[in-house]
Amino acid sequence: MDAIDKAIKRTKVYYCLDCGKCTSICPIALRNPDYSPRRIVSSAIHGSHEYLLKDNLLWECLTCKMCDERCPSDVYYSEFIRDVRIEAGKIGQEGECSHGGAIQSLMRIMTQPDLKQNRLAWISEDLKVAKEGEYLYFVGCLPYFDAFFTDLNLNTISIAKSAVKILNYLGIEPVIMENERCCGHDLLWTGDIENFIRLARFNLSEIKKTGCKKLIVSCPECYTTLKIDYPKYVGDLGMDIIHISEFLAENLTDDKLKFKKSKKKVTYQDPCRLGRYSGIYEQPRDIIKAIDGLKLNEMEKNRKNAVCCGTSAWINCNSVSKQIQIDRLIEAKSTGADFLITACPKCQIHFKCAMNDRNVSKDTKIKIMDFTALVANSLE
Amino acid sequence: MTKMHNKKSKFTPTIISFVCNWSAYNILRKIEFRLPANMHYVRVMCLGRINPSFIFKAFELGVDGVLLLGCPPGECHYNFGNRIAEEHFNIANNVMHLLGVEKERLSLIQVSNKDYLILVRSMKKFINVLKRVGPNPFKIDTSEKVWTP
Repeated sequence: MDAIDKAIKRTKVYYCLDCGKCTSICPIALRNPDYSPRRIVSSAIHGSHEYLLKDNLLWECLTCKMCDERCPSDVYYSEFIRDVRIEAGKIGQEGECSHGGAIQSLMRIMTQPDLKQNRLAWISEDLKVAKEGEYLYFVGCLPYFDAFFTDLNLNTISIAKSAVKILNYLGIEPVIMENERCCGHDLLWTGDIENFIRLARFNLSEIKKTGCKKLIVSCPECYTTLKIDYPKYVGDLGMDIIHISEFLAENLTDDKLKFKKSKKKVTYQDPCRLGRYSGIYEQPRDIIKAIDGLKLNEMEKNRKNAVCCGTSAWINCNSVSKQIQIDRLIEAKSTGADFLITACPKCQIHFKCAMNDRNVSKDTKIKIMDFTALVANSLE
Repeated sequence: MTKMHNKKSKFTPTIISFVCNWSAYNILRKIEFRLPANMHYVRVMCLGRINPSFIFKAFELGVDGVLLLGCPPGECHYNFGNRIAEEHFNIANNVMHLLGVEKERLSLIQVSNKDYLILVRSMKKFINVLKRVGPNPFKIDTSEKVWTP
């Protein structure tokens, strides 16, 4: 039995009823008639595996898990795509990397154990961090995004600053690792399993060295990778992994958080990795609703039906992605909200990039704010 | 210490150099590309073609230094190419600083068509600096397989 047969068995792809619900809901298939999850599944089961591995459409999938949610047979299509991509990666196939593959190269350079990064320059004097303690904060690639996407006015590092600010507000001084690496999410989903394992092993040993008991993450992709994929591929971290919205929701009930009054209207974009992958839908909404005066206008497609931001793992960013982004921005704008809140830095990057396009009409322009930054700015 | 020093001085750095067709390439052609290092030239129609991914990929593959050779401000054949090259150089520099890669490993030299001496001198200086900095420690060893399904 070859690896694809194993993947078919593991992800229950052979249960496919050929009903086409996946194709009807898939954001890519809606805009690119060549692509169909159902067709990929049927070519994997009935067709030649060699052909499947060399199929360019394999890299089109956003892995947004929308089809998994709709599938009546419980097929794990996103995971199937991941497994097939790993096999395709072994024979040298890869997706079309956006930004010329620069970000993938950065991650591969990060696999070197001797690297001494200068990634803590953002910790200003007003932020209190500790050398050891109960809580560890995993920053992820935030400092790199700011340095790399200079044309988008991102300030993603404010997310890390806000997270530390919130933790300080709650009387916690988090530990921050000087030598942490990218979690490897994008390498895993683009089929570079070898380098993902290298990064994961390195992070695992670094995280264990800190001796903390709880790991707080603000990036949804880091969250799912650390929580779901690390135990599967390299071993358990041995600590609770908590997304900052979960942590805040816990503290909300204890009345520890006091917010300033606000008059803004906002709408919330569910990141795929936080929503459909981890089931965290209500916690961020509870926090947003708890901010006095802040009005949450839901988009038509929300929670399980939320549309992905158009690109995943820095591959295959094309006109289809742009259309998805524009449609989502129009949907956000139609709610009458002043701000689009998202919990994922990559959603922010993709939407801002779409709005930067000269050909895009002004009607789509909406201010985008990160969830963590919103909470930190609203604290009393 | 002396042993270490000797070892370093014997080291010949591997350098990838992206060369603008309209300025530095003409000079390099005249000197027949003879320089004391393991230099690989990539001729591009304009240095504005280079983006940070080229530079990172080169370091990922284990080169010791990356050299960008382009035109000075105001002399670009396409008017805006050197501005873009500078922007991309700055992005790559900032990201490399975050990564902890020595900044000496990446250099942008802007010379016009006639600055023969300036180009050769700056290239020799770059090579000497690289000899001092030493080999690139960030090359990925792909021979060892870490994953078994």
